[in-house]
Amino acid sequence: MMTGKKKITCRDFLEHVSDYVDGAMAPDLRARLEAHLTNCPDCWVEFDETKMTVEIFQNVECHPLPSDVHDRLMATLEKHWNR
Amino acid sequence: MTNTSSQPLAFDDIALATEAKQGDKGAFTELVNRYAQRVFRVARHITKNDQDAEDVLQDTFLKAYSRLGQFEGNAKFYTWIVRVAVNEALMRMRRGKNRVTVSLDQELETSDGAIQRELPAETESPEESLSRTELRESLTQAIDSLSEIYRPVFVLRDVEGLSTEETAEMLNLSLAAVKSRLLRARLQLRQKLRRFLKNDDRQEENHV
Repeated sequence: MMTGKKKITCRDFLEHVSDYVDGAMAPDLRARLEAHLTNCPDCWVEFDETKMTVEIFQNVECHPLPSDVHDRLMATLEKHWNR
Repeated sequence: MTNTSSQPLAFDDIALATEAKQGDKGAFTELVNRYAQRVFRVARHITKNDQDAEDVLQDTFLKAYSRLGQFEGNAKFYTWIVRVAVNEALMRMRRGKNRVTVSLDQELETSDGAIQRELPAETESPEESLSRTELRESLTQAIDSLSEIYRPVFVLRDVEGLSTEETAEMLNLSLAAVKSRLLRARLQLRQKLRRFLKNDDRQEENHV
């Protein structure tokens, strides 16, 4: 946990990288993390790869619904409705 | 884009649910057509098994139909039905039908312990290209490899695009727990997917 104006370390940044990717943090903390990021290429890589990891999952659809699974679902519902 | 393309207007969903409550099976079928894909995906990610996912899918919509009276118009239908699906999937796993052993590799200590620092970029050839299918399989394997603690949080937040608050409520977790588990899940997945991450430009930018 960071308090006051304590200098942001790489460990601090890593603890917050997920929230930073989401933009979910107080402006003051965000500004301090950004200041660290500007001067730390390693953390920039941490941030960039984490962001890309999230994006990859958002852009590639896993497990498309097979048509036969959909058909069996509808058949089950029809059976339930006709009971 | 999985998070947005299949999201219809919430108003339409509420209208359909209202019609379905009054016995309109066609309206319920439309809701099935809209959300079966996403319910199946959530179920498959959580159970890691196609048959269990199909069972969860069927149970979810059967329960949703019988419980339509409990659906209140002030909630999103998708959120409501995913909650049913998540409960079904987690229950199925707790019953031991799909018990799996997973390693908790790269456990991260976030307080005063040392955080494992992942070194930047063991770069693979930028020319390496992989088909969409291969990528999808790799993503699936990567999610499957997450522990049961992290996987549902990651799936709801980053695959389904639910908010931290919605995820916390759905999984009965605190906001802090959701954030903490999401961080660990993302870092583990990043490590597993590093070869897919484009890093040629970034390397040049950083090494100045």
